[in-house]
Amino acid sequence: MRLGRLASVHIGIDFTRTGSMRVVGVSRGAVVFETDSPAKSDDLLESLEECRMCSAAPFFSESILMELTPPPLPAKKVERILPSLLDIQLPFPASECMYVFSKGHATYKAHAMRTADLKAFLAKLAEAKCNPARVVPPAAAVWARALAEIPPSSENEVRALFICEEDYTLLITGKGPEPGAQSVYKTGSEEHARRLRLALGTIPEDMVCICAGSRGESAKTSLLQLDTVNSKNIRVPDSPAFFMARALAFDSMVNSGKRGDLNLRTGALMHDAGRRSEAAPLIRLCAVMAVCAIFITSYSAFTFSRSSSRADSSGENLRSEINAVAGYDVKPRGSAGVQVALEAAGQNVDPAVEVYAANSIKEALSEIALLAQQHSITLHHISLTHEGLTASASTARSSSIDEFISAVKSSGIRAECTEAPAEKKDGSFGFFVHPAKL
Amino acid sequence: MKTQTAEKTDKRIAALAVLSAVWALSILLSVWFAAKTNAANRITERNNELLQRLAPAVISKKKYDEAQAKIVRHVMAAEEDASTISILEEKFPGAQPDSIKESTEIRETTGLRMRTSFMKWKSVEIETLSNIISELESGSNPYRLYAISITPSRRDNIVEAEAEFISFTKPKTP
Repeated sequence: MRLGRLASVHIGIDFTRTGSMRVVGVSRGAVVFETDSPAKSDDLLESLEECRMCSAAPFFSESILMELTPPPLPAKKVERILPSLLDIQLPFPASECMYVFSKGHATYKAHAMRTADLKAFLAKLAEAKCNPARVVPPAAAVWARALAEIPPSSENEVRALFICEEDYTLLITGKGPEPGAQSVYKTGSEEHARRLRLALGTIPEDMVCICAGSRGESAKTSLLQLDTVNSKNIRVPDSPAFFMARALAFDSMVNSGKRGDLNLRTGALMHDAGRRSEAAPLIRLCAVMAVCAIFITSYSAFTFSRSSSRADSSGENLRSEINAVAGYDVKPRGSAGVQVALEAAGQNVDPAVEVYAANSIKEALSEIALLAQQHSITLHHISLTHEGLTASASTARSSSIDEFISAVKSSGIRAECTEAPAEKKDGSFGFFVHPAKL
Repeated sequence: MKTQTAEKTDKRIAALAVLSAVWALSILLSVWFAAKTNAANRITERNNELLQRLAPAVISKKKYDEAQAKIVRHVMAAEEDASTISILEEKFPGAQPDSIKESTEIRETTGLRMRTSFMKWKSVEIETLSNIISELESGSNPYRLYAISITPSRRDNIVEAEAEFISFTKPKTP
């Protein structure tokens, strides 16, 4: 048998106590294969060994279904007390069990299995080279499948579902979307009717009996002998021997990894694929946060490094400018260094070089002569050096003095009149000009 | 007795604690880097302010250095001109100064020789003085007027004058 691309196929494994195995593959809502000899296909064997989309159900007798009725509390609180309620009802400690809960209308259903039994079951599967990612309670899977394949005529239709195998039969009774109760018994022709009466007390007339499993047809035959059940209501699904495997495959397709997943392989017994997929969101979150942290820290470090190098460079630039202006290596740094440099700046300047380069004295002399004429100033003596103008002069109008001094200053010649002009006998005003201080 | 859910919650809490610690550490580091960046920016701003204060002095210094370099280049390439005495004797025989002093000194900043010529006239025509200045400033390695003092006399266009000229020449090789 060549199955090709099994990567997208959900597989249900029905493993009975006798050691026989029925395997069903489901893809996109349709059965793609059914086989009771998986060893014939290498692809299938490979998938059964590691497939994360494989589901199996424990032996009927090892699976426990209980109804829990919690007090009227908020859902979150109820979820916290459910393990304690289960612990009270179980004949052994809940800590020795793997369990899952499903919510009904007002009650909760607890599906439990002893951890030791689950370990032994997984060991048996391992011997048959099977390592399913999910081990789901058989009652939940087959009840949902029965509802899908044989839809109820009304919401409150009472149903009895027989999964009848060579050694044991699983009877599930209830109404609505959740199974009500289950019982397991040794398969025998008289036993079905007796167990049905035990489970329901009075058998309703419109009750629907569904007989599946390898001995489904014989269960139907024995149920037909009951007067209380309408023969039309005794149904056998298509391919009844593969019903359980089919139910598991569909359960894998519908519920795997979802919130309502009833997988008993949790905690220490979790399949590697489940562990990986459970850790994936956290790992993704960690990775995203780590990347963000690295980015933020790196960006901060980069900004700091850039600013620091800019500060160093500006400091170095300032130091070299201070030294250049001062003409020697100035020890004080910062504003003190600038002050020292500005004070030392003039000391390295040779006035002879400045005068020679600018040839300013000759030009200044011409400028002063012109300005004196313009402002009606009579120059009695004039002395001009690189330090500025020294002169004695007179004028008929005292206001001309300030105008003349301002004009001289505007020409870039350092000059000032420190003394008040003296009025002469002839009515003119005499004044002196000195080089202005820097 | 711990339930499966409790064990799972414990692991999640531990993972979240580690994550939070890493985040807190990265935030702390970022805050520390931000503080350091801020301090570095303040230093840069302060340095830039000081550079602005220093800028006029830097510009003057640059101009001075350029002028000095230009003089040095010119002087090293030019031939030494005649002395002011010989120029005046040759060009202005009728306007000889009453006194003239020539001196030479090595300028420390440039390493060049600076010739100084100080002249004094008790009376000289203002136009002649102007011509003398122009003549001395027109050589290939010219003199420059460094200081001048003029006192007009009672006569028109005649002044009493003192003038100091400078000129740079290359250092004499031994």
